Amino acid sequence: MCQSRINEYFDLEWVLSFQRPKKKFLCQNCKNNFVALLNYPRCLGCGRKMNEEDICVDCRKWEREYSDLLGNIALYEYNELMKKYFERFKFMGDYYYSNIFNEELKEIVQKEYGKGWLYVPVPLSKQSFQIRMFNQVEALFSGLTFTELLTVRNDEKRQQSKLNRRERLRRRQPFILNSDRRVEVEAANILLLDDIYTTGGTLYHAAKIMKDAGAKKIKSITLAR
Amino acid sequence: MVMDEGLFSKRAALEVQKNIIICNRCGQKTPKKRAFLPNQQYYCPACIMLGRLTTQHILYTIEEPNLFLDIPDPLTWKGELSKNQLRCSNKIIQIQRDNKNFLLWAVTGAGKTEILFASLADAFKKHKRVCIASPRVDVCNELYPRLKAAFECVTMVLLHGYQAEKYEYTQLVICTTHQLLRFKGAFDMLIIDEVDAFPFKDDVMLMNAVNSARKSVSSLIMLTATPTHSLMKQVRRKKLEVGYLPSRYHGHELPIPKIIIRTNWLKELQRGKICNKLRKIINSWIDNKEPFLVFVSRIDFLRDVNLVINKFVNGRCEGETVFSADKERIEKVQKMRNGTFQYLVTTTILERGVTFAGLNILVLGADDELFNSASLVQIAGRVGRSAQEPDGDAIFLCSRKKMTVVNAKKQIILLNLKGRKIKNESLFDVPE
Repeated sequence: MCQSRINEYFDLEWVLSFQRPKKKFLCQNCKNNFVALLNYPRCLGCGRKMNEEDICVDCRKWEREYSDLLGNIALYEYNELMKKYFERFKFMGDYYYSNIFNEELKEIVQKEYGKGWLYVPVPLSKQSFQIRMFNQVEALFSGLTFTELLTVRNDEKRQQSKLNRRERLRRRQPFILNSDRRVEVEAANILLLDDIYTTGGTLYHAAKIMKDAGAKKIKSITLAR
Repeated sequence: MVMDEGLFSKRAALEVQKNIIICNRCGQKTPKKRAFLPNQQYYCPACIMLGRLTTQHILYTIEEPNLFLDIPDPLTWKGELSKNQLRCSNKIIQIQRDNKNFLLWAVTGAGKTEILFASLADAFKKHKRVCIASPRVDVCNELYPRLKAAFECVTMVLLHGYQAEKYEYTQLVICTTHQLLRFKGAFDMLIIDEVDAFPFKDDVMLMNAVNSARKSVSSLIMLTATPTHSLMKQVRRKKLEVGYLPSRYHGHELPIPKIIIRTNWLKELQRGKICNKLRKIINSWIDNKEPFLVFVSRIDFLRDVNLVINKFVNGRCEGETVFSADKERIEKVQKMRNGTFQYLVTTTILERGVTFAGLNILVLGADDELFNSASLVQIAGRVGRSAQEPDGDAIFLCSRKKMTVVNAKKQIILLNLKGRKIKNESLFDVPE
């Protein structure tokens, strides 16, 4: 991340384990600056850092609107460094940066939602895809088998990240369900995957479609919150 | 815009080879694995901050037409050069006319910019296109208004990554060295200020950028106060001509740094103590109301050092800490300029290109690996830059004697010696 060299150190445990060293993408300093949320008490709805385990104010609103919460798991806090990371990865389009969190994300998905879950990445509009040439969510979670159930409506003009909070919450349904795959959703367990959970708008929009199509359980995992 | 096919030359942005890709903008080679996109395309990660280039892009270049207005007398600056400055200035005019490469080694505070004016004026008269680049944004920002004032009729634009001004076709371009990647065969005269500064030093990409931004027949002028070994090697092999300006514009000598060795200074400091020698020095600075800068090697030390100094100062004057990512960096430096602050605790960001009148400096841990001889000479060069107060103290505090510190002091003494000697000698010898 910070472009400095990474010190590979060899400890006794590693020598005895006869394993090839895991490739490291982050130096210790950068690693420390990403705040791993799993070490803190979190909101049961969105996964943000809290003083004690509870449901935060924003999630109570979602609860009233949709009755079920997503129980989102977010790996890291969206702080200055994470912002820089997304700047480089998503907006400049440095695809290689997806490797930094790929291992960890795959691990958590397989640990928490192993069998019997369909992995549904949040889609990207055609215009964004043309510029970026990759879907950042699929890049982050690459290695998992996705079920692409959603597409972005064609008339959706503006990117989510260019809207402010109020505009985001007022936005109407941006997604449509791929009609040929409606059958797969019925009575299925759906795990939604996204890069950042900000207001929750995107994920709850996606969840609503799934629910209307008859999904049993809907949960979500994101990289940042 | 009307596009005439004949005017443009076209080429693919990236060259794909067996295991690597080569970027045609920055010239960097990248392993395919690093540059891979999931749609079977590649991109260049080395110059991604200028906008991503992929295998689908095509680069267009227009041959430089040199379409500039006739300006009979472009220089509106009405200052005067000293005898030595004038000789350097004439030499650069000659270099510029002959389209050669040149290194100007001028001590800190020699008035490098003013020396360039005459040759710039000469180049502008001949419709030449000129670029002044520097690795440091601060240097560019400082140069732009000075040049604007000196050449009122010449079109110029300032380019760097933090500014939103749109590119315009101008006769003079002032930019950071990274921006040079955007040009190809464009400049008849290219000037690089502070060639030895980070990140330009040892950067292959930026060296490529310089070579591709200038025309094949053009002059390259490099300015520095502390040339690197590789530059001096070229000079010794007679591949590069050198000019040599070892005295300051006001004719006073460079202040020679004092080295204080204190084995346990770091531990003492962490316990909140300052040794007697330093106490005396800092006290005298405060009593005489002289501003001072305290340099530390790492950002982590800033807070601790500031706490200790704050306690020692005990309200007699004000000061703060500054570092590169500091949001109030510019405001704090401004406060230091207008005298609200008497001291700043800083990292190497204030090492170059800043001028405070009557300044003193203190380097804590000058033997740290982060300070090399060049940066120590630069730091010492902050002292005594104004003609009114040509003296001041430069103190290097270290825990042991180290070559870099000793060399820095030696270099300054040597430069002073040269400065005394060369009053009448040739300025363009190869220095020892």
